Formats: sequence, C-alpha cells, structure tokens
Amino acid sequence: MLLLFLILGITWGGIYALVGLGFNTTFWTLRILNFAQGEYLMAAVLLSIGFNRWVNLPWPIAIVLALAVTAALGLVLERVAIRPVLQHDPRSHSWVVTTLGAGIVLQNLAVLLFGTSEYPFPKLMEGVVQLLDARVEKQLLAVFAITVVLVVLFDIFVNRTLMGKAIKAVAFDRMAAEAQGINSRGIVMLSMILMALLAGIAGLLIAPMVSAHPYMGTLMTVKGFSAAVLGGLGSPVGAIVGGLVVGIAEQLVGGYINPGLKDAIGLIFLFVILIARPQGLFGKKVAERV
Amino acid sequence: MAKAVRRYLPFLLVALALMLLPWLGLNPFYTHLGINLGIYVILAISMDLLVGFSGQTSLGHAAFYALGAYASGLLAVRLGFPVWLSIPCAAVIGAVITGLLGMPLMRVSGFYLAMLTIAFDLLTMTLIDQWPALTGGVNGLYNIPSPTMGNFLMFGARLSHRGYYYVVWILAALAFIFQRRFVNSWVGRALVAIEGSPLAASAMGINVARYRWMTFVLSGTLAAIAGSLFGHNVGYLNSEAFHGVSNMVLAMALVGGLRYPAGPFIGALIFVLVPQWLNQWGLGDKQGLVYGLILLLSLVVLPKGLASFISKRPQLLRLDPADVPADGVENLERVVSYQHGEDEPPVLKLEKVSIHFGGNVALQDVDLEVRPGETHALIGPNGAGKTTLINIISGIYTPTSGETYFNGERTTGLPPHVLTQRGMVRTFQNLQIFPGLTVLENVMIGAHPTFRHAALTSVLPLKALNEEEREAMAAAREVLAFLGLSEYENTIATELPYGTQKMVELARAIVAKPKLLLLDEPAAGLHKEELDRFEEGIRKLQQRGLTILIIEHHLDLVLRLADRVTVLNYGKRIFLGSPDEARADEQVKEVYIGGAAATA
Amino acid sequence: MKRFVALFLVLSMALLAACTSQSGSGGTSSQNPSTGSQTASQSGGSESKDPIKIGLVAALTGPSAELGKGIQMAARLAEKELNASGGVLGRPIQIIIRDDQSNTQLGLNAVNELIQKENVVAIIGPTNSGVVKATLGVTAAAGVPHLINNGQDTEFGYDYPHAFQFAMPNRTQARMIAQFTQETGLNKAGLLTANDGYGQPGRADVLAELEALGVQPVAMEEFKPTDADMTSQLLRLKDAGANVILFWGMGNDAATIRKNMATLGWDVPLVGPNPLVMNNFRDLAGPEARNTFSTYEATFIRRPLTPKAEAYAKAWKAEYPDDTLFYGPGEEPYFYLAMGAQTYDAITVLADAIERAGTTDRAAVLEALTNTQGFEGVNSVISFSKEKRVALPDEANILVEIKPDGVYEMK
Repeated sequence: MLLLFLILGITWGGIYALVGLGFNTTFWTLRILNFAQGEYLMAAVLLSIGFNRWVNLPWPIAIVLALAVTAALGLVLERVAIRPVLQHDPRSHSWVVTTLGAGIVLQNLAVLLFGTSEYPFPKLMEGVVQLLDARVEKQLLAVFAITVVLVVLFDIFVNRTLMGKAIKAVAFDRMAAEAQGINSRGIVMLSMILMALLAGIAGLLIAPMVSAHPYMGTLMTVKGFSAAVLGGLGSPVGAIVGGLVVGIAEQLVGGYINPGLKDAIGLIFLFVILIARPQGLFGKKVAERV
Repeated sequence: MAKAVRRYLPFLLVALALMLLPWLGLNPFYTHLGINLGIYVILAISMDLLVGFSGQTSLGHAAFYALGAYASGLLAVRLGFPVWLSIPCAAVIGAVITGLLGMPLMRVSGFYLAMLTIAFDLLTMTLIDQWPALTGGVNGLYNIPSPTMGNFLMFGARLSHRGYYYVVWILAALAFIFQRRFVNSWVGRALVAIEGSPLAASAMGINVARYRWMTFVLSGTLAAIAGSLFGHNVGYLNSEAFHGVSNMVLAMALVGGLRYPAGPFIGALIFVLVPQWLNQWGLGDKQGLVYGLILLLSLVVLPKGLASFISKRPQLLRLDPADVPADGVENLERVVSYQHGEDEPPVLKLEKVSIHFGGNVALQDVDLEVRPGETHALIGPNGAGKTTLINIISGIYTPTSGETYFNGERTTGLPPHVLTQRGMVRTFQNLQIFPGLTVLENVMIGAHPTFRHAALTSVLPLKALNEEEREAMAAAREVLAFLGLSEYENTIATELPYGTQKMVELARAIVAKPKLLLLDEPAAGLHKEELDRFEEGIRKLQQRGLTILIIEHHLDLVLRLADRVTVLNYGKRIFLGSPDEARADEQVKEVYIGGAAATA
Repeated sequence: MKRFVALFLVLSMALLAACTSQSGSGGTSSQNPSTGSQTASQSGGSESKDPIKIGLVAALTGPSAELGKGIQMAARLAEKELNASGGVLGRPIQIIIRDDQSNTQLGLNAVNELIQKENVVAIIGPTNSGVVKATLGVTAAAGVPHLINNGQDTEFGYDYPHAFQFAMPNRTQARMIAQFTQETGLNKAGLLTANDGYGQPGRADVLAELEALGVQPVAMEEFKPTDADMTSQLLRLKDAGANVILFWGMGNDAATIRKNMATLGWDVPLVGPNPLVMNNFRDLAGPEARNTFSTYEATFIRRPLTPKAEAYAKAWKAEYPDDTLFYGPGEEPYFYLAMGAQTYDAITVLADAIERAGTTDRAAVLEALTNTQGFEGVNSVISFSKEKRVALPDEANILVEIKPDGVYEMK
C-alpha cells in the first residue's frame, strides 16, 4: 500500500510542481503571481475538447491548437490585466485583483461555452501494471514520465539556453538586463507563454483522472501556489520539491490518517513555512525595497 | 465655524440620508440591502486601512471575517452570550488572532504577509469544514440570533431588520470615524511613509514593525466585527459564505479608491448594487462574469479607484495649514537651537568599527569622533566605505565588531528608528522622498519623533494632540520657509525637480530637531543656484549650534563647510584633521589623484 | 466635497431604482408599484389583475446547473400552462427565478430578496439540500410556504410545518439501499459518503436503516467532493472485506470511484441515491459505469405511463422539442423527466392551494397546502397532512441498475 501511495504522491506532486513552475516564471520576470493560473490549466483542457468535439479535429492536433490558444491567452493576460496596472504604479498590488478577475472571467466564459457538465478526457494509454504489491494505471506512469521530461526540459531551457539565461538576467535585475541589450518586453512575453504552457500541459495530464469542467482549475491554483511558496518563490528546484512534498504528504495523510485532511496538510506545511522561514525551503529572501 | 460646517456637511448629509433610509416607506428589502452595505463598508474600511495606508496586502481577509462571524455566532448559540457581549468578544478574538499571526512577519517584506494570509484563509475554511464538533462543519451553524430569523434580542428588545440596520450603521460610522481620525494624524503619515519606503520611514524614527503590526491587527479586528454583524444578520453560517470574500474585500477597497474617505462607501455600494441590477435585468446567471470583469477592468481603467473622480486627493493633515502661521522664519528658533558647553562628551563616537559582507571587509577598525557643534566631513573615493559607515552609524547595519556611541550612550546594534528618536537624523544618497505626498506632508513625517502620544490615542479628541500637530506643522512651515521652499508646500513632492527634492529631504531631516544631522551626499545633483542656497542653509544651521556629519563629493564645498575632516580609503581611515591640513596631506592627495575620476 | 454629495445622491437614486422597480428574470412585467412595506396580504378578492408571484431559487450555474436547468424548464412549462388556462384566482402566475450557484449564501440572499422585495406568495427550492436547510429558517420566520422541489433530507417533510417535500426523501432511498444488502446477500457493507451537506445526512439515514436490519457496516469512509482520487478510501474498504459499497454523493464522485476500482481490480456493487442516474456519471465513468445501482422515481421508467405523466411528457416535447437531456434522445420519454416533474408538481399543487384558499394570503395558502388531498401530480398522487408533508409515497421509488448505455429497472 505504501508503494502505491508513494507513486500516487509523486505523480500528483509532479503536477503540482508544473503549476508551481508556472507561478515562478511570472514571478521572475514581473514580480507578480498569476492567480488565474488554474484557469489556464482548465482552458487548455476544455479547448482541446472543444476542438475535438465541435471542429472534429483529431486529438493530437486539437491539443496542440488548444495549447497555442492558451499561450495566446497568456499574452492577452499580460497586456490587459498586468501591464496597465504595473505601468501605473510598479509597487501596487492591483495585479492580485486583476489576475483574479481574469481567472473569474475565463471560468465564466468556459461555463457559457461548455456548460457546467463534466467531460471525459481520453487517456494516453489504457491498462494497469502490477508493481510489487501495487496495481498502477499505465496512465499514471505516463503522466509521471512526461512530468519528469518536462521538468528536465525546463531546467535545460532556463540554465542552458540563451533565452533561459535572459530570463534569469531579467529576474535578477531588469534594468541591468535591459542595459545589456536584453529585450525585457520579449522576455516577459516569453514568461507568460511558459506559464500558460506549463499550466495547460499540467491540465491535459490530469484531465483523464479528474474529468474536465470549468471549475477544475481552482483547486490546482491552490496546490501549485502551495508548491511554489513552500519550495520558495523564484526557485525551480523549490517548486519541484514543494510539489513532491505536498503530493506525497497528501497521499500518506489520506491513506493512513483521514482522507478529509488531505487538502489541509499542504496548507499546514505552507502556513508553518511562511511563519518559520518566509522565503521558503529554497528561496532567497526578498529584501525590503530600499 | 463656517469652515467646520463646510468640511463636515457632506458627511452629515450622508449620515442623515442613511438614518432616514428605513423610514422612507419603501420596500423592506431596502433595509436589508442597507445592512449588507453597512457590513461591506466596515470591511472596505478595514482593507483600506491596511492596503491604502500601511501598504500591506491581505489576500485572506475572509478568514478574519469568518473568525468574527463564527466567534460571535458560537458564543451566542453554544454559550448563550447576549449579542452586546458576543460581538465585542468576536472583536477581541479577531484582534488576538491577527496579533499572533502578524507577529512573525512584520520585519520582512509585506509580500510574505500577503502569502501568509492566503494560507491562513484556506486553512481556516478547511478547519471550519473539518471540525464539525465546534463549527457545525459543512452542515453549518444554525440558530444564530438574527433579525432574519426573528430571534435577535438586544438588551431584552427583539430587533427587526430596521433595528439591526441601526446597530450595523452605528458601528460602521464608528469604524469610519476611527479610521479617519487615526489616519489624519502623525500615525497616518507614518503609515503612508512605511508604504512609500520602509527604510526611509525607519530613518524618520518610525517603528516600522510596530506600526505595521498595529495596522494589521486593527484591520483584522474591524473585519472580525464586520463578520460578527454578518453572522447575526443571516443567522446561518458555513464556509461557503466566505468563498471569494477575500478577493471581494480587496476589490472593494481598490475599486472604491484607496485613502479617500468616500472610497469604502463607493466600493461597498458597487458590490451591493451590481448583483441587484443584474437580477433586475434578467442577467442573474451572468453575475460571475460581470464580477470578473469588474475586478479585471476597473483598476485598469481607473487605477486610483472611483472616488478619485469626485474627491480631491485625501489629506493627511489634521489642521488647515492656513491656520498655522510660519513665524520665526529667520531664526529657526522653534526647531534648531543649541548651546554647547566645553565639557560635553562627543555627540558621536565610533570605536574600531569593522564590517564584513560575506568575505569582503568593507570597513576595518574605523574610529570616528564628532564633537558637539562641529561639522565633520567624511570624504574618500568611491567604494571607500562612506555610505556603509553612515549606515552603521544610523543603525541600518550592525557592525561585525567595534562599538558606536551617541551622546555618550552605547548604541551598537540599535535599530534606526530608536536612534532617530534619540536625535540622530539622516538624509539619503538616493532620494527617499515619500511618493504621492505633498512637500508639507513629507516634511511633517520628519517631525514624527516630536509626537509623544501612543498611536491609538490619535483617534481621541484630545487638545494636546492638536497642540502637537500645530507645533509640528508650524515647525515644518518654518523650516520650509527657511530653505525657500514655501511655494511648494502643497505640491506633490515627487513631481518637483531633483534638486528641490533634495532640499525637501533636508527640510524633513531638520524638522526632526536633530542633535546630529547625517547628510549623505546632500548636494549631489544640485545646480549652482541650489548649491548656493544649500550652503547658506547649512551655514545658518551651524550658527545655531547644530552638529553635522556630512559625506559629499563636492570637495570645495565640503571643505569650506567642515570644521574637521575624516578621509576613508578602502575601508580604513587614512586621515583626520582640519580642511587645510587635508588639502596639504600627501596621502589624501594621492587618493584623490588616484581616484580623481570619481570626484571630478 | 460637492461632488461627493452629488455622487452620493446619484448612487442613492440607483439604490432606490434597484429596490422599487421590480421585475423577474424574464417574466411578464406588469407591475404593482405599491408593494410597500406591508406584507403578504395581497387581497385575493380584489379585481386586481396583478400577477401572483412565486419565487423559485435554483442552481442555474455552478456544479448543479444540470438540475437547475431542468427545474427552470419545468417551472416555465407549468407557468405557461397555468396562465394559458386562465391563471389562478383569475390572475396570471409569475414565477420569479433566482440563481444560487449552489451556494448557501447566495441562496439565502435570493430567498430574502424574493420574500422582502418581490413579496412572493411561496418559495420553491433551492436546488441543493444544504442550501434548503439554511433557508428554511428564513421562510419559517416570514411565514412563507416553502416547497422543496429537489432537497432530499428526511427531516424536510416532517420537521418544518411550512415545508413540503417533492423529492424522494433520503430515508426512503436509504431504506432501499440498505435492503439491497439483504436481497443480494452482500451484507459486508462498506460506506463511502461525501463529507458535505448532501452526504452527511444521507450517511446518517443509511446507518439508521442498516441498524434496523441488524447489519453492521464493515468500514465507513468519507471523501471530499470532487476529490480527484479515492484510492486510499477504497483500499481501506477493500481491506475491511467489504463486498458492497453503499455510496452517498454525486455522480461525478461515483465515476471517480468506479474508475479507481477498475484500476485496483476490485469489482463489487456500488449502491447509492438518485444523483447516480444523472448523465455525468455515465459520461465520466464510461465503460466503468456498471455494477452500479440507485433509486429513482418509477414515473417514466415503468410502462404504461399514467395519463398525467403521458400528458406531461407530451407537453414537454411540444415546449422543448430540441431537448434530449431530460426527455432523452429517442421518441419515448426518458426516466429523467421525473426530476423536472417534481418542480412542476410543486407549482401545480401550489396553484391548486391558492385557488382553494381563495386568496394569496400566505397563512391561508399554507393551510390549504397542508390540507391537500389526492391531488393528481405527474410523479404521484399527492396528499399532505399536519404530520407528514411528503409528496412521493415510498412505492413511487424503485431500484434501478445503471449501465453504460442507460438506466434499467432492477429485477
């Protein structure tokens, strides 16, 4: 049983980590958190379903198209909800309200388009494998494998490519980066696209397990946020560790103590870390603005 | 008298209209909406206090709202508390919980507090659902005394909605008066200073952590009171009641307009009325969409909120400057006047001060002594450690080793605001003017250490408070006149030319009545005319016996002004003596020729 | 400051407008401007042709929107038919519908608004039983008859003298679910219930009925609605040796359970209350929508249909020719019509009671409702009394088996 819980925990933790990484990308470049993140996750899933059902596109094309639209929605968010308020006052917290508002709008548009019914979503692979004493869905293992590949790709992108390094430079000091000829506007756009793609892919991975509906993103926003803050905002390693910690703890608490406390355990970790070590496990302290 | 009438007339009219509302013979649903409005107004005021003034953000106000609602509801239902007792108890519980919650986070960036409030909100909601023995869990808490259920008793009388309407609005009015009096004072200016720059605020003698904490607790308490009123209104509670409330409260405050007296009223009205309108137009099922659009777009279209349309910029002054004359301009009698005796100890003394950053030694065994009444110049090439030394003196950094003394007392490691309160006042190399405030308000923040009352007393109608305020305003106006800045009194300081802003910073430092004035490159960026005025000002201050420690790159200027000079290079003192000796010293020359580019 | 006053006045006017001009969401709108602060005594004897207002609170959006949609359609159908046949007391009926998004507080707001502002004769709804429970106190205090068209808590039809229940009570369903263990001999029952306002009262009823049969459940687990994975709960039930799962919750959660069971390679019957027949269970569980049993009204499952049911189905098809969700995809009416019929029955019973009372006075209507005897509704013949105000008799409910392609009476 423990093995099964661990596998479930790591897989779900990986999903949380993907959403958490999405939180990080906008935090790097804009110093904001996008509270509409979960709705991007939902949008990618429902758009895929829409393209498949109504336009009769085959799944792979529908999914690619849906991700492209989701990424475009990411750019729209930056243009409509984030840039204007930061331009007015870079220190204001208005982005909290505007990104939340964007999320609510997306959710309600989804309700208008798709209704509130739940849609089934196809699995990558059917069937079950026996791992020691645990029966595990092949889908779950596929999700796990894809998550690992994505995290590795993300790491390579950020640390090994020029564009990734540019993101880090903007994260470190935007002015200095611009002085060195980095197009910070472009980097910000790139971070929004990354955010939308990470969320969207996370959504597509979990859709077969949770079924698709306009409200599916809300809980994932909380989980991804917990992962990102627990690990330390600004730290990709932190988001991954945070996600795994939350995912595994949930399964263990749900399995051995009380399923009702499953969602609470991540929050308790989050609460404790913010009190004891606000910058998170791997984060650097954000100094007082001087 | 006429002026007072003009000032308070709008509020009286609004109050009168609100008082008459339930008696206009209209639909009783009116009264019901009026109750909701009153509760939302308290919530918006609570958020405005936090975000608008201290610059902290709570993304979890629903938790405090829920705490108040459940505290009062549980006390009334389970222990049979009468409501006149259960509502104040809810306020106390709200205060205690926000107090404990806020304590660990007041010294770090406000960002983490925002994160913590989210976590606390989510956790509170989980707790409500998962602790049915206490809260009734997902089935909810029933039978809370409520006018809707017809069982709301107050002092033995059964209150209808109409009666409850007055209970709510009396508390809303008290919250409003409390907030306005609290912020239209040195406290409000201190909070806005913290919002603008926590570092500069602490250099004004403001205890940043304590002010932040106090505001957070007050805000949480107000939210808890609103919550208890909400619980007693609906008579039934479950966690669903608080979904989305955190965002709504923040949105009300922002959409209404931060800091404006009318802001919370307008914000609350929007969020009470829009759902009604939608229902009326048959768009009830589009409520979510419209709500989202309001959040998304209103701050983009109206970054300052709706109140900015109809109100002037909210002032942070309790008195009208026109009533407070700036007399004694020439002699600055009110502000700076020292007679120094021969046997006084040095104002400032550093003994073998060193500081390391990581492996780098920034300062090594630096000694420094500033005598009463002297102007001491601290010079050296870029990177010599001058600003680091000023930061140690003013308490921003704690030295790795060595001791600092101020007025004969050991001050090593004391925080900036304590040193400022003891009379050590500084300016900054990089401008630290508080954004969005007028010159007069900026300068009055400098007078913070002259206010001796506890912050919470600012809400009381005490004569002594008005006297303090009058005194500070007179001093501020006097200093501004003295530095030739009177014409800018009501200008937003950050809109002035750079050089003028530097002078404003100087004025803000002087008004604190310093025993030691630390000037960190005060003349950088000034043009000729401003330089002359600056030099003249310093000379007058010297004549009045003010002790000054100055860092400056204009060597001519600083050597003209200084009585003694300390020269730093690579974190070590290489020279101490008179300006003339400094000009002649070989080592100093070498440093300055070597680093000539920096001083040119 | 002058502008402050001006704005306040403008907003006050707006508030006034919001409160005084009245209209339902989409109803006819000839209005009575003088509702005033007097209460429920719209006089029935007067010549007035003002509409008689009935408040309906339903989950038009949010997680129960599928139900809310059916309820809204049924209500509009009833309104249309009643008005076509001359209305009630010679006055038209106006049903004012408010959305509560399945949220308790929005439901409370809506009920308060309908009572105070619209001055409705009676309240129908809300959709979710948790929301119903919260609003019962409000209607009781205002003396407004409360017709519960969809809420299933057992207490609704017994404990509230002003409330009338048109859905199948939990207790009746729980009894049938408990008896399933006897009839099949699968008496190692494992309970798996939602920890929300629907699952918790249901769980209590199932436990009570099991106890009456002398069956001790081998394990009891709870889940949080919309939980993405129930493996841990299922493993506990399996380890306890359960050979049947008694479920209480919504269809989407049951789908998750069935899918997780397939992964675990564990196949025992799942028995639960009537939300299991909703489309989402079969949509989401796909081929795993099997070995699952639930209770449902027999109205549109058994043949032949009663004349009343047949007429209702015809009227529905005529009014909503494009609907396949409730009427079903084929020509023959589908079991799901019975859900909307609960609302239809509530409205027609109410109209009948107003007619009999001869007035829209709430107290008189309440008394007439309580005295309803042998009213022929779509789902059943309805009789109320002071002790029991439940529209559906036990025999109106049957056990059904759910398969991927539909819902069948269990033999």
